[in-house]
Parts: sequence; C-alpha cells; structure tokens
Amino acid sequence: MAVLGSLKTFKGGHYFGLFEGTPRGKRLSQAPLPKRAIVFLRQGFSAEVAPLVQVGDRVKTGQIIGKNDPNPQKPSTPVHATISGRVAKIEKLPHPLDGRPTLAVTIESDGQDAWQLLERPTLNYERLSAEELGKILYDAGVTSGGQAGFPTAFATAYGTPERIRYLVINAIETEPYFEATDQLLYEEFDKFVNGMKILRQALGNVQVHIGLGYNKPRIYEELITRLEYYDWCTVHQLLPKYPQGDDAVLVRTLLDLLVPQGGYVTDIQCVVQDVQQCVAAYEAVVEGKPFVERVISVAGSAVKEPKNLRVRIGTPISELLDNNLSAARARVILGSVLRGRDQQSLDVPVLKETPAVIALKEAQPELMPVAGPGFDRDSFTGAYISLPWLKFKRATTSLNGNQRACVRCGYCLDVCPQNLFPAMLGEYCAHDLVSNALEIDLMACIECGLCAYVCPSKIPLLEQIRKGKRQALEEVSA
Amino acid sequence: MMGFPERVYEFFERVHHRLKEQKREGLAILWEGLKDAIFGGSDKAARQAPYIRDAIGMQRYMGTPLIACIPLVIAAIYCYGWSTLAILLVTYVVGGIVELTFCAIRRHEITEGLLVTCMLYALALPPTLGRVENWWIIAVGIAVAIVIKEIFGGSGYNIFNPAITGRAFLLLTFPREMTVYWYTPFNPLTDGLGGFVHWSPETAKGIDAIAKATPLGAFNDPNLPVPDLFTLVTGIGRADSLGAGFPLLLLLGGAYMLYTRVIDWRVSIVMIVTTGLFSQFLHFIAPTRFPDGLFAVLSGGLLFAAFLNATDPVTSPMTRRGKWIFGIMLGVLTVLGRGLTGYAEWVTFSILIGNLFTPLLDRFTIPKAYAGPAISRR
Ligand code: SF4
Ligand code: SF4
Repeated sequence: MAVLGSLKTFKGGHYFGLFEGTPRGKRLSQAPLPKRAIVFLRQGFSAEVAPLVQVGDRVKTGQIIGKNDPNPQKPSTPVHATISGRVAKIEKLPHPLDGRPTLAVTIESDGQDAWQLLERPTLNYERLSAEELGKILYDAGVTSGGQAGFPTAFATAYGTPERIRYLVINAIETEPYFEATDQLLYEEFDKFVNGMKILRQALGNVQVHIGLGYNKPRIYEELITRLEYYDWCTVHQLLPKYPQGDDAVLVRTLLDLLVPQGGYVTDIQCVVQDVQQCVAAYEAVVEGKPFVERVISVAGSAVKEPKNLRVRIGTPISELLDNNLSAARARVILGSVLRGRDQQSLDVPVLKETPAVIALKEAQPELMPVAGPGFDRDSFTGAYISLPWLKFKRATTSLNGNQRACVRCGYCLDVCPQNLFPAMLGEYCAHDLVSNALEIDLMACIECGLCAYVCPSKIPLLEQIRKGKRQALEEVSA
Repeated sequence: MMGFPERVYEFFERVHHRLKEQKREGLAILWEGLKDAIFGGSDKAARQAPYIRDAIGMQRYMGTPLIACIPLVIAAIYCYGWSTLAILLVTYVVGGIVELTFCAIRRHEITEGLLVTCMLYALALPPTLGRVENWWIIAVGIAVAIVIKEIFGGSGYNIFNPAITGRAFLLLTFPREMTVYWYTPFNPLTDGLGGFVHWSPETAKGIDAIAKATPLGAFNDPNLPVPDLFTLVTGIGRADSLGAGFPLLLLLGGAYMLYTRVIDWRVSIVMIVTTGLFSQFLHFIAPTRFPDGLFAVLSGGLLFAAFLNATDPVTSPMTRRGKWIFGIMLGVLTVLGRGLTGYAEWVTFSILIGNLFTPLLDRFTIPKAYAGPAISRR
C-alpha cells in the first residue's frame, strides 16, 4: 500500500478566515434551468473554437456547437449546448475574465431539456483503452479543465498523454467562498474516485497524487480504504493555506517539481485536475453526459442566502443573483475574489472554470474604523484580534486603508508562495521596466493576489504585475 | 436613508470640493488628510483584484508601535515627572507643524509614520531636556529630522530613520545637553507617587536628582560605579533616556510587536543576540573595554533601538536574508563602536550606517523564485 499520510505545506501563503456569506456545509441544490444560456466559444484552457451552428438552429443539451481541428499550437476542446432550444444569437462579446472579444452562442431554452448523449462504447470503462477514453473526454469537453488542460491525442493541452508521468488531483479548496467543490467531494465521492481512475487510465496508467485538505479526515479515511490495494495512488494531507490549490504550488508541494517560468505543469510531465473534472470525467464516460453542468457557490457578503448549486454552464449570473442580493450597492465577481474579475453587467454567464459567483458589499465610510480590537477582521498580521468563535469575517470591497508609498514592510515577500519580490516587481512593472522585472523572475508569478491582499500601503501590486506580464508576452509575440 | 458616518463623509467631500474649486490646493490636501485620518480608508474601494483586502492599513500598522510605547510613556512619566509630557508635546507640535507645512507645499499626502517618528525621537531623549530652557533643542532636533526625511522624498523614500537622524544631529550639535546631565528617576520603592505628582525629579529633590551617567556611561568611565543587575533589569533608580531604561517594558512591547508581525525578529532579535554574543566574546579578550554580553544588551538603549528603531520598515531591508545581515551588522557595529571609542551612543550611529546599506542589501539578496528556468512558447 502506497497510501501514506503526511501533512504537507509550502512556504508563504495565508490562512483566510471564514468570510461573511460563505455557504459552508450547505448541500448542493439544483438550480432551475436557465431561460437562456450564453455559451462562450472559449472555455477553460481551450482556445476559441469555430461555431458549428447557425442562428435559428435547434440544438439539444450536450450537442457540440463549436469545435476546432486538433492543433498542438492552439489546444482546444469542443463546446456544447448546455440547454436545448433555439440558437438566438452568435456574436462577439467581451469575455468575462479578460475582456477580449470572443464568440458567444446564445441559446433560448425550449424548456424540454432534451439531451444528446455522447456516442461511446458501452463497455465497462476499465476495458477501454487510453485512446478511447481520450476521445470520450475530448468529445465531452472535459479536457479544457484545470489551469493547463488535460492532454489527449486531440491536442487539448501543451503536451501529450505519453509524456505525462503524474496525475495530481487537487482536492483542496483554500480560496474564500469556494465551497461547492468541497461539497461535491462529499456528495459524489464514488463518482470522484471512479473519475480519477478514468483520468488516470486515459493518461496511460500514471502515478496519481491526491492533495487533500487535512480538515477532511472522513474523506481521507474513506480514500485510504478505497485505494488501499492500489500502488499507484498516494494521498497527501495538506494544510488549508491559500494558494495551495494552485497548480504550480500543488505540484511543488506534493512532488517537489518546479514549473518553468511562463510554462505549465504539463511541461514537467504533470497534469492537475480538480474534483469537478473527475466527476465530469465519470459522468462523460459512464453516463455519456458531456460537461454542461458544474457546481458553483453563490456567495458573498451581499448575498442574502449563500448557496452551493449545480448550474448549467452558460447560465447568466443575473438568474442566480436576482432577488438574492441584500445590499443596494454590491460588487459582483465571477470566480475568485483574489484573482477574478468584477462584472459591470449581470448578463455574463457561468463558465466552465467558474467555481463561484460572489457579490460583495461595497466599501462604506466608517468613522475611525481602525480603532477597536477588530474581532471580525481578517489580517495576515496579528494587529487585530480575530476571535475564532466569532465565525464570519467582514468582507467588503474596502481597501481598509489609505493608499501610501511602499513602507517596505516586507509582508508581500513573506506571503508570496513563489518566493518572489512583489514590491520590486510591482515597482518595475508600474514604470514599464519589464526587462528588469523579467530579470527578477516576473514570469514565475502565479497571480495569486496575496501580495496585494496583505499590503498595508494598499499598493495594487497584482494589477501592476499583471500589466507587466501582459507587456512581456506582447513583446515576445511581437 | 443615510447613516451618520455617511453624512459626515458627505460634508468632508463637499468642503474638499469647494477648496479644490477655489484652487487652495494646500488646504485641500490637509483637509483630505483629516478625512483620511477619520475614515481610515474604509471609504476607498478596490478597483481590481483582489477585491477583499487585509484589514491592516497604515493607521493600524503605525499604531502598533505607538501601543507598544504606551507602557514606556507611563513609566517615563512616573520616573521623570510631567516634564516628560512636555518633551512629547514639544516634539509632536513642532514635528506636526513642519510635516504639515511640507505636505501642503509639496502636495503629498500626510502619512502616519510621523506619529511614530515623534514618539521614538522623544523617548530617546535625555529627561533633562524637559527643562524649559532646553525645549528649543528638542524642537530643532525634530525639525531637522523631518526636513532631512523630506529632502529624500518623504515617508517611504527616506534612507535614514528620521528619529535616529534627529537624535544623531542633536548628539553632534549639543553633546553636553545630550550626554552629560541625567536625572536619577523617582524610585517606586521609596518615592510613592513619584513623578505623577511632580514636574521633574529636579523640582522635587533639587540637585540630588542629577545623575552623572547612564549605566553604559558609568561603564566607560573608570571613576563611576557600574549599576548592579537589579537596577539594570528593573530600571529602578536607573538613569537613562526617557524610554530606554525599562528593559522589562521594552521586552513586553517588543513581544507585542513581534506577535503582530509589525516588526521582524530577523532584525530585532538577531541584533540583540549578536550584540550579546559578540560583546561577551570580546569581554574575554578586553574586559575593561567590552562589557559582558548581558550588560551590553541591557544598557545604552540597545533594546529600545533594536525593537523600535532598527526595525523601522522603511529603512531596514525587506528580504529575509537582508534582514539577517542587517541585524548582525548592527549588533557588531554597536559592540565595536562602543568598545573601541568609549562613546556610549553607538547604537545610533550603527543604525545610521546600517540604513546606508539597506538598499544595497535588498538588491543583493533578491530571493530566488520557486520556478524552473523560463521557457517561451514560440
Ligand atoms: S508576486 Fe505573484 S505569486 Fe507572488 S504573491 Fe504576488 S501575485 Fe502571488
Ligand atoms: S506589502 Fe506593500 S508596503 Fe509592504 S513591502 Fe510590499 S509593497 Fe511595500
């Protein structure tokens, strides 16, 4: 038995408190079918694909509506209709995560939810070959998941299955408000374990390493019992410190491998997949369902009732937040509060890579907010007394301080999981000295956002660093 | 429906707007500063990710050393009477005026660091400066400190710790007032309410209250008796600078600041330990020049400087390795300086020298990224 229990972690990072409006422990519930789905033709790791349908076409749930020919330079994965109905619009819209104009297909629901299941051999999956599994996963759209895609023969990641040596399963959620995937792990444990086996088989029976939060002893026990007789699997228990779930950090913690700067985990022969991907792989191979539905948390301090939901990809977030916002002024964020993007309009859809939709209260003027012990405040420092029994930490978009010049406190260096020098990186990038920034390892930044989170001078370090990285990439391609 | 804070906020905004309209930029900056002080940045929202931010802001960050200094201030008032408060007041008023003038003229924001600078500057002064005829010296020192800070570009860009700059200036310009006269503090074992009911030890006891030297001064002067360990540790009957003579309270404050992460042990503790070990080592070689390790640590404001001055974030290195080197350097310089020159104020100068090396240390200790060599996709 190669299953061993070791408590691992990494240097830097931050343990977040539990913020207001976290749906901790809430069971997953099914969101109603959306009346209209906006499906972007660029989802997850995949490149933008060409549409296969036209306005007016009738589509079924799970039907492929966009696809590219395999191209190793531009990995892509098919995109599916996520509800059945009529194609109402095909137009370029700004992508919710980076604002680049991207083709999106709007489908008007016919309320039937008629499915088109995958064509696949109906054998027990254990009898299928790696190629056959790769084909199903590709057809099902599972392969665009994770931060670096899932390699198959159809060029769905930078890398091919033959070159992969490790499959790393990310079963730890450390970001504020991301509760749904944890919940999925509890509720669909069987699917998760089998999905993991499927993914492994599709990669040619590689070694599997599971990174699990140490605060889930029950899951740990169960995994140990289930996987006891397999010598290909190692379960690691991890401290729940952000950003442990990031690909580069996870691989480094579990396997001591370093991801090259500006590269992906596939470059060091690893694949990282999360719980949602495992479950989706199971549903694709065993049930024949393409990846059209995912779990998300609808959460945040401005949300009346935080929930964990199963929603169709492409559901506009207005349908999730309508009648559920408690504050008049709220900031709606698609994805993570640390690295995601706020949305001006609620007309943007849930994407394949969206684990949460978060609405935060806007900053409000308060008189002398720094006075007082600060029982409900989350801080990297010990300057506020955070009481564990006061459950929820305050969460607003407030900077909690005035912007000042860098006081060189060094907190950003202390939290940086990549051991970078964020203060200097930010300074260089803000002044367009990208080549200097590259010398001090700009491209090693994983954009976790912690440096900007902890900065007491409220310097927008992440913003500056992202700008520098964009410039550096443009220079390379120019 | 608007709450009270929002209404106050509205008022501030309106007046600010008015001042801008009338092109009174300087006043507008000061008004903005007042608003920022009252609302502590709670009104400012994050434009981009991360959308939630750490609760620590510059106010709380700079407030922590002030909290750590409260016990020192109380102890100083007890030991040296209400003239202590006069010293603090003169410092804050003059420091405040100079800083605000600069802010208004140079149109930059008012920063919280000033409060800490003034506190640390005042607490490192000899209590005898509390005599009314000496107040102008205090004023000159803090004014020079802030002017020098502003010459380098203001808070965050200054190379030298302002409190230490001011102190060094006074040491060089007014050596007599700074190093010759000391008070024997009120003694809690015999003096009852002590300084709480007196202006200064001098007004209470007359000439008897004048002490010849601080413990370190006594060590360097063969004619004076060296105080015993009890005096050194408890600070009872120990003549020293206002805030530097209370090792127990300094340890308390230091522990608090270490706990809150506002200071780093890599500077403070490393500096203290280096001083102790190095001094002890040299003590074996030249016992008359170098005191034993414990004495070196407890005397001459070393604890005060190690916890409060050397750790000043702006003028100490940011990187972990840089902090180690900085702490060791300060310890070594202090011991060597004190022993070789026989001058008790070497903590001050070693910090100034250390400050000079800070940018260099940062540059040469940039941490190595946890990432493989760069690859390009094209
Ligand atoms: S520099 Fe990059 S990796 Fe480091 S803390 Fe900042 S965002 Fe995270
Ligand atoms: S956290 Fe902010 S203030 Fe502190 S060193 Fe980094 S950039 Fe400067």
